[in-house]
Amino acid sequence: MSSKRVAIALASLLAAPLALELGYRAWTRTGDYRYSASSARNEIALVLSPLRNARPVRLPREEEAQVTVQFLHPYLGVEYKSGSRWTISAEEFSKRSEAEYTVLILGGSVSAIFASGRGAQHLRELLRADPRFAGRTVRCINQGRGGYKQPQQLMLLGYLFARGIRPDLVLEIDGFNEVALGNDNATRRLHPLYPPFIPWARLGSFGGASPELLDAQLATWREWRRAERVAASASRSPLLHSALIGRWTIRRLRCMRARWIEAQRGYMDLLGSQAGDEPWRGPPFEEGPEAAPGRVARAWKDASLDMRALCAERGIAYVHVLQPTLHDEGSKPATQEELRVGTMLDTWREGVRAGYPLLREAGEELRAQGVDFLDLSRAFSDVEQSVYYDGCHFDDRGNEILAERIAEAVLAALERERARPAEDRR
Amino acid sequence: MKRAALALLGTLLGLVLVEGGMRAWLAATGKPHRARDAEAAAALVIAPMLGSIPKPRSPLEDERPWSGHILHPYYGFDEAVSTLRQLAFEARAQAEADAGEYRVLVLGGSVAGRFASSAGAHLAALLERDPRFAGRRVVWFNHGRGSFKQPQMLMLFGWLLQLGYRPHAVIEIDGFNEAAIGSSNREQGLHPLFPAFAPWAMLGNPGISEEDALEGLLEIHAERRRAEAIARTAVLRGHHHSALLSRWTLLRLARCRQRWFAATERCSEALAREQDLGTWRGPPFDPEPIACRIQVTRAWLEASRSMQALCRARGIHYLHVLQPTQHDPGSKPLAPAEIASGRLLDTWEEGVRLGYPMLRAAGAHLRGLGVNFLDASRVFERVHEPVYVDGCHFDRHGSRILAERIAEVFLASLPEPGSTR
Repeated sequence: MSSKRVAIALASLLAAPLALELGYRAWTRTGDYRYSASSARNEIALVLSPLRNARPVRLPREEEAQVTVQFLHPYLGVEYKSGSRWTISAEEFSKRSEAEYTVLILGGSVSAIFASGRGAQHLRELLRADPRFAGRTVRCINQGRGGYKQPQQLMLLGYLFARGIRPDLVLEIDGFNEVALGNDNATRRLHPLYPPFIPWARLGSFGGASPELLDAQLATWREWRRAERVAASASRSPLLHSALIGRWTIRRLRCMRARWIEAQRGYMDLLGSQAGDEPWRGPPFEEGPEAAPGRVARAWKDASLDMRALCAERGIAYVHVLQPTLHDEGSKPATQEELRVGTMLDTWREGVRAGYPLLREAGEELRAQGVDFLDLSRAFSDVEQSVYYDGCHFDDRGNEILAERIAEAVLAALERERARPAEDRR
Repeated sequence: MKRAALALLGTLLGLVLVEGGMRAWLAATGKPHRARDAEAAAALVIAPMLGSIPKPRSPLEDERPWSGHILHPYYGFDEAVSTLRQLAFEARAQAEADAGEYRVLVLGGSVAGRFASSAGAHLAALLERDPRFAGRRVVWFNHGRGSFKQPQMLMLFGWLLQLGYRPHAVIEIDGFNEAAIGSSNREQGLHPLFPAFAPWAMLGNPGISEEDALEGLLEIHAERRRAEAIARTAVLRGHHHSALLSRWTLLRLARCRQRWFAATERCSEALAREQDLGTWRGPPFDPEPIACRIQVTRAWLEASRSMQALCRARGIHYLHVLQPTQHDPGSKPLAPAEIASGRLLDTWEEGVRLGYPMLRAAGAHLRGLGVNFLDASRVFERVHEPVYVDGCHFDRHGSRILAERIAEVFLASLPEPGSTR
């Protein structure tokens, strides 16, 4: 073969893909669509987005830094992190001076709102006004977390003590989440003493699968990984500038996504067919949902006794407050506005209705056993104006009322502690 | 036809001869074949893969729908769901227990779990001899769990109390995992007070970005399933009754475990390589080794105080035991076999060497705070024969020695009659 022929063959070999590429571009140039490597990258991201929104995915670092994320914690079930700030930071806990009186506030979102706003501010004012606090500063440390319910606060206190934290007073404000979310858990076949269903079912179900379920779950991961690998190498490659290769890659990824959807469907079907005894749901709760309020109230009382024991071991004062809540009958003359904004799930409302009388009863038992227990479930019983802005959270005025009653209880507890013989104190 | 029958007969005869020969050889070497032992050996081989302490009753007999580690909201992870079911069952049993029972809850890591399994009866007999136990039977509730370390035991205890557990006594045996695993956690960028790296990184990690880690996880899962299938088939078909088939099954299981272990290592290494300081690694901590040891020791001390406080509030007798461990210098004159089988990860050995003196000092402080604390770290100080079967676990003989020391201190610290419930 002459060299001229070889050159022609080579040139046509090079020209053919080029012609194909140009032809393809011309053919696809319809309307506003123009192929480019960057548009292909965007399309790849779009194709992969459902896969990336399912497990196992992590938020991009810059995005994670902006939002509050919920994540698994080995001792608390679910924990929160806002940007780079951890809810528990060692610095936050170290005493700034000997004259400082630190109040560690625990509970659910009501306690967190109290601790971070007007409630704690007013409590500080009231305590500082007392001669026993002369020359001292009062600092409230907010360790309330949305959705927390016993025994999460007990576990948190044990964990904080293990980390060396030493407040002067532990203030536990709770009640609503225990009965409302505990009841909700039980109706959804999650143990009533486990963390609330919504975060736990999402975060805690991984690993607690039957071999078949884990197979199905891992099959979705496998498809996701394959697709990610193809997408990553395509995005890095200069060949993505070719419309032909770019379109072919996207087509390939679409097929992968279809397989992933199929695998995901298999997983969901299997999940749906579960008998309800999957490990992430906790030990079997054989008493049934109707027994949940009673079970929760017993655990709530035990947890409070345990928290008192942990505090007493370290000479720390402990005050336990039963918070008021809108749907507890007779707790407040509800305004029209409160009724309008105070709607909630039936399971929550039912939990409050059945559970609050039991909590009050258990609270009396706590008091009889020497716990500084404060029943504030009727704190708003003669408040005519609106204080609730939803079914369980209240405004500054409500928090001020709470702070006044809590300050009285704290001062009385301190007085009792002072009156005790020194040898009884640890 | 005749030839085929002869060949079949010959094969069968050959197999019987091999089986007989094998049994004779095993008997001659002092290890006669016993189906029960073979079954227990198989359980022991696959136990780490299932994340469990081998129980007296072989786990292979159970028709368990679940296996391996599962997430637990209050102490990180737990064994298969059978443990969760067992928790509910035991809590109910304790609520209905008769007055003749004296219930002892054992907590700690795998050493505590193995101790309760192998020397529980011996310790029970020693306790029952005491007049204060007249007419009472000691019943064990073994909740030692592989790799557990404080504050996991505190959390587990708190949870058991919530479930309705009402023991008369709690014996907490720990020390090694705190010192060793606390140290390796730090090295792998996981908070030293968080659970052990491998199980937690695989379960608590919200998103695995390292491809090797994901591949490793798939492989771990596959090997575990393979081993379970082999074991279950062997039990169903009665392989454990044959010396030959038992050996073959054990070999296959051992190979699975080897591959499972290699995959676990690869997966852990890949997870540790992840640059992202994910939330699953816990809050930021001072990475200096000494700061980590101080933190681990403080948490160990505080967790024990908390356990004592929970026990005191319920009139439960509490005893905290610092377990002996091979790499604690001066704790035992080591036999060559112990040295040969006792190698650990460097971080574990260093953790023990530097951490144990701190735990001993903290133990003395605990005693000053009124905690019943037994420093058993020197319990093998004069034992010359081998007791360690690996870098931290000891055999039945070692467990019995520890049981005798525990019985002595337990009885000495037990309140006088009328105080035991």
